[in-house]
Amino acid sequence: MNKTRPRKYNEIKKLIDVENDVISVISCNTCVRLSNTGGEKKLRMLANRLRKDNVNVVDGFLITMPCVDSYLENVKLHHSVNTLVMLACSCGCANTTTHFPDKKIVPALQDRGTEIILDVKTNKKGWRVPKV
Amino acid sequence: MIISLRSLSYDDLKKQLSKDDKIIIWSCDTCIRFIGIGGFDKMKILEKMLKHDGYNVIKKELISVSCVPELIEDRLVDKEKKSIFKDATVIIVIACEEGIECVEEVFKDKKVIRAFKTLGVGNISEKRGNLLTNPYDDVDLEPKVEGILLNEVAKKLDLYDTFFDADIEEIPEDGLVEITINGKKFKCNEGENLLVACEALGFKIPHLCFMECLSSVGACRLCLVKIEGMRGLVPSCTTNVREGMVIITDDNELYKYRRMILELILASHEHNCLFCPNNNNNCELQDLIYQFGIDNIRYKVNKEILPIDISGDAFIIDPNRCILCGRCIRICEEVAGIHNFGFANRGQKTILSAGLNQDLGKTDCVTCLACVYACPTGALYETMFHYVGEEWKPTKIYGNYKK
Repeated sequence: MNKTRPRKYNEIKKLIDVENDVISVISCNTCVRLSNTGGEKKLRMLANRLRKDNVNVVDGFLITMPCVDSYLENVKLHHSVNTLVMLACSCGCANTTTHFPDKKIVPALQDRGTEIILDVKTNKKGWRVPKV
Repeated sequence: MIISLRSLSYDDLKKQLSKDDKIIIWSCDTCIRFIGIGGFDKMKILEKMLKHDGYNVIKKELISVSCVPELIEDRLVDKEKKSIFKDATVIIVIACEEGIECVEEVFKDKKVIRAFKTLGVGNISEKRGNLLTNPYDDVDLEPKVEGILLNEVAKKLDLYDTFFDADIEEIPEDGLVEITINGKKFKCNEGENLLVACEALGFKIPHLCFMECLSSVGACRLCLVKIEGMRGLVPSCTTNVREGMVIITDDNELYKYRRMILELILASHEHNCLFCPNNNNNCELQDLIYQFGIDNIRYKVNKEILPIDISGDAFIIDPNRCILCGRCIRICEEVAGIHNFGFANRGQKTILSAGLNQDLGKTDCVTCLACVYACPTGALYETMFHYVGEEWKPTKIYGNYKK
């Protein structure tokens, strides 16, 4: 399971152009929900907070795995949307970028990676983090 | 999706085994199956290869997600499995490295063979192929938004993007017996499930409750066949192949029975495909309805509408589309190891219930989605919503669901 951590809200906000960006928020409902960084509640919280800050959030999508093409095909964007705020790990964001090449992608999460034994001799555990 | 590739050749795997070992083949049923190098079918192939080479494979164990230790620990207490796991000396794990380590942590006294290396995260795409987009920091590859195809990754890192059977030319068949299906003679493995054997030989037998990775209960009665010397009609999913069997899989009488069963299933509730999120060629019941050309139901349809359970985080239970096949119950017991589902009530009032007949959200469900992938209809489907308007009102997404 690829675990994630949330980015600071101000960091996300800096990536958004309040005047021009028309936004859809998309959340993964698998690994990200289990990391407590996504899913229905977090999607609603982020969208509400952005709306309070006058960001034009049009709608939101909760899909099972944005890293699998067949799920991402369910996202039918409104024609005015030009920016996607992603509650997904790096591979979910990568797939969305490929799937919607003309949209700006704003990742709202950072990968924490997978915790495994890094040194078999000492049994020392550590995080393996995907490169972005 | 976690991307892993095979790191051992079949010869290297055999070097780690001895003929005295009691082997369990263990596979995760999520990421590694999506990549195409894991899951029940692959375990079957490896079992066949190892048995042919004289190794003692005592069990194939499928788990919905191997990176959750609580699910693995169930194998230590499950009354049917615990003695087999106690006897085993070696576990060959088909999973990502995190999944392998969880197995090692639970079965500390067993030799766990690591045959797969995890490289990072990536995408599953039917059009573009399976891709590694973000390799881990200790992997000598650069991230690419468009991804790197797994066969290229395998070449660069000296790994294998195929399963073990790609290493050898052909797996020879042992212990074959002769059976007759619809007047034609065939050879197949003695003791093999009859439904699986018939389907492998090209004889399609309709079924809804049967899944090869689960135990057979013969609940739907669609797979009834005629076997010479046996009284009445026999469910092929609960029958094993024996020498000299003479089987009829399809005739007018069987067709009439099967059609009647399908009509009764349709009459049990209002199965309106228009309102079903799972209507995109993923419904096995709908496929059978089309196959049998059913355009009306001779029986009175039960119009009672049961409440839909939307309390779960990852999936929804719609009892109005449930055909009581029991696949979700068996997969939750046997593959997930959670025992979270069961039937409540009796007769016509029988329904699928979660936990102690509670709302799904209040139960111990780990949301591994094994039950959703097993459901042959739209009774269990993933929570996929489109939120719109000022009030952020959720509407169900009707579209592609991965099965």
